[in-house]
Amino acid sequence: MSELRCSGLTKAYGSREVISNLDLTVPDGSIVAIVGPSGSGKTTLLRSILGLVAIDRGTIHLGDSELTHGRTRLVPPHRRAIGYVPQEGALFPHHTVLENVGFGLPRKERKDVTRIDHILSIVGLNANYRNRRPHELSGGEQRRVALARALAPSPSCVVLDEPFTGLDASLRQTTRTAVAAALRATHATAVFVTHDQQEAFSLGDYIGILRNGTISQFGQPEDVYREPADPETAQFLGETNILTGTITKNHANTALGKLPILGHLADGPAHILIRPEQLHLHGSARPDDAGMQVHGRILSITFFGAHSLISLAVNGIYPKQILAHHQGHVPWDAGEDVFISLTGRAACFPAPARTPADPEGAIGRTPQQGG
Amino acid sequence: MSLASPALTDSPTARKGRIPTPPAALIAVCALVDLLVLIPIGITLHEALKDGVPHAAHLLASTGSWNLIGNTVEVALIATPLCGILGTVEAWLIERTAIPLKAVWSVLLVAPLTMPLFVTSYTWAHLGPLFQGEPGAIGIIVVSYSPLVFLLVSAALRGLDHALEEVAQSMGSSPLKTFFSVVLPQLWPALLGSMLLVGLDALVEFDAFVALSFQTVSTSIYAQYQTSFSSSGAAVLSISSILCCLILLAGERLLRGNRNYTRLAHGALRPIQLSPSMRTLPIRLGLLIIFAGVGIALPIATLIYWFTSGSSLALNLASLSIQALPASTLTSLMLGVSTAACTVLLAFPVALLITRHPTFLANMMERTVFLAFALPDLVAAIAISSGASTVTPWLYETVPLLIYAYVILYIPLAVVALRTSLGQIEPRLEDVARTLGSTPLGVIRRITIPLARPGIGAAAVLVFAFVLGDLSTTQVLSPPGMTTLGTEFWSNSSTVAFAAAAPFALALALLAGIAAILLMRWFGKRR
Repeated sequence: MSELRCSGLTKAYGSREVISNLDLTVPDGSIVAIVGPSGSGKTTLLRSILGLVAIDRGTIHLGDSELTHGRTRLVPPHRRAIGYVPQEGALFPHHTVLENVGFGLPRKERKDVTRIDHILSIVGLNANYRNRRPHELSGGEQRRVALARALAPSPSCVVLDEPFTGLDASLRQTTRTAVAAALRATHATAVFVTHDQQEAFSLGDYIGILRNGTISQFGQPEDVYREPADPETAQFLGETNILTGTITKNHANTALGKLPILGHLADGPAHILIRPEQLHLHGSARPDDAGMQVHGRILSITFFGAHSLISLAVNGIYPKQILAHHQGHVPWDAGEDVFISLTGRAACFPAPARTPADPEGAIGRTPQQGG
Repeated sequence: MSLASPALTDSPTARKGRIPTPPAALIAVCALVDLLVLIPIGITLHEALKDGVPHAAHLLASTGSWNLIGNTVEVALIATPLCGILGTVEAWLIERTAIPLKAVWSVLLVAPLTMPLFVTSYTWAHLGPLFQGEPGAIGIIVVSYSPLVFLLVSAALRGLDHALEEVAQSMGSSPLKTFFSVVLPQLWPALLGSMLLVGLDALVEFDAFVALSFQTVSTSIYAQYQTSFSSSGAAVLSISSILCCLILLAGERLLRGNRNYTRLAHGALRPIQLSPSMRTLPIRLGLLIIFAGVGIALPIATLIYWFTSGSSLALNLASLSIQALPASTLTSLMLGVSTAACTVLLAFPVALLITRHPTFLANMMERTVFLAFALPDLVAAIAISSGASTVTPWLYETVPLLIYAYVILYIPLAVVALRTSLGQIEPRLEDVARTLGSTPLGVIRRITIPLARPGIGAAAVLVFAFVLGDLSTTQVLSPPGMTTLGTEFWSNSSTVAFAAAAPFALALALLAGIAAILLMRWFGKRR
């Protein structure tokens, strides 16, 4: 049983509170991704779990033992048995791979080649790496050795700080797979922090959103993506269209059309979140259930390979741009008009008392007239 | 990494508010080191003020000491900036321009530092009046101590991200402007730190100024001591040197401001592509030849001339000296090695405290170590000697007491070398080691010491070289009958034939050369 629990964690540097009253529970054996923008306190959170920084208030438990109680570090960092994979690996430059991985083992076991080789194989490296020096490894190999080093003493919990930052796309993918496999194989409870949503989605069993020093939302990746707790979280997790509209009978009415909503919200004005992949573009009219035909003018097309991001001007929403994803080849050019239909459900948030909707007249011209 | 000053701010411990509280044990050890440093100062102050402050003030005013203090301050004020400029130019030539045989040139540039100052000054004294008096005094400080600036500034230069210079140049800044606007601000901590050492050394320099017959506070302290045999006059004079030292320390602190010491802990730096400019190569080589020529070739050539061109009487004396050579060499080596070991051992905690826990307390404790330079060697030695004779007679005129004196005299050098090296270790490596189950002491043993090895080596060699080059402390404190290369050189050089002194001087020069090579190998290593 090695569930990691932080409760009421607070840490200030001078007058600036980096972590404020943070609660986080990492279920035993699961991988939790903490995702937050730069400066949101990610590294401080990890360092307090490790005992490398003293917190001001709160408690940290691992399994049945209390590690930190307020300002008191009940267990010093070297007795916590929490593995640590710092940014960029931070391998000991004066040691070989063998010595790096064996560093945390008892003296007798440090030279146990078969054991070290086994740990290396868990992270997907073969025995040939054993005698290399850190500077002879690629960035991805360094991360894997760093993970092997952290896993070697069989910790019940591992924390990883931006484990894939600075790796190129293909290396990132293979390293990510290797790291995920290794963490699963050892059944260690893992917490990793990242500013990259993709990484958090693909690797975490759960993700926690760290904003303003506290976990603003925690849950399974897909749930958090589909039903973000607030518009800011939605925007942080990916491209979004946040529209103003009204809710009637669990349906959201927007200038883009009508969609069933996720969850429940009382009838009335609301902010409605529609992801770009929920928008489908057509060259010809295709009326939706309500018989609406919404069209927009393509402002720009950004090519991303498998998909393209298209920004549109839509009557009633302009000058705010609408973002849509289009899979594969885009048969239109900027300036052309397309029809828009919606799929899926929309997340929505109650709008503040006054409705900040764009007044119709402020646009001055419709996409058809302008451009 | 912020573009403005990557080396100065972007590290966990340098960031404000992230300073971990220093462990009590470390503070305690550093306090002990400070105490060791303060003992001779305490004894001297007690001696100076035992007849009351008015008496001391009267003595200070009556001995015409203002003139001496003026002389001392003048030399320090002129020589220190010159050292700074010369050392920085040398560092720039070696680190940032394409020069053939760089390793050789760096050793030649460092050698004047490891060469005993009394040997260099003795050869200068015999070169003519141009090399004596005030110009000689300034000259010898500049030549002998600019390598200190060279060492520290080139270490800092190596750690700078060359990309910043490239960015500046890409924005249309000329090489000279780039140096002043981008490079120099980043070198400032290293430059100020090394100039502080030079200034402190210049204030209390003694042997060299005696040889060059230049009157300063230190030399007249010696005269006072010799004529009156009352150490109180000497002690009163040394109050002025303590005050100068305090002013320098405060001044450096003010100039340095809140900048932390250079930290160079950010992964692999891209190697610098130096464009071999053939047009300026002759000028650059010419400068190096002049620096190395004055600094090292001149004294060595003089020594060899003495050795080879003496009369038959002189040669007889020289051959006598050679018989005494092995014993005194062995003594010098023994003293040098054991002092180096003790000094590094005591300097390490201080350097660790200031680099890992740079709190106000740590700053004060580190500054206190620099007070070791407040007393002229001779005064410190006399204070230790008189203290030991009354309080711990069993230590009086023993080798351990002599080593204690050496340690406190040279510990600032070791702290500076170690601090530079410790500052280059990524704090994260120590964090990782903690999480892998190493105790704080285990981390020092398994991570910090192995990674700081170049700095430890450099500190040891630097102290070793300074012990070889010491004269006054040895003369006051050495057990009866013990001779070192230095004392042998001194006693022979004061007799008729310099040829008799030359073998000792050459042996010292040889050891200094080895020390210079080791110093460059460890401290001058390209990372």
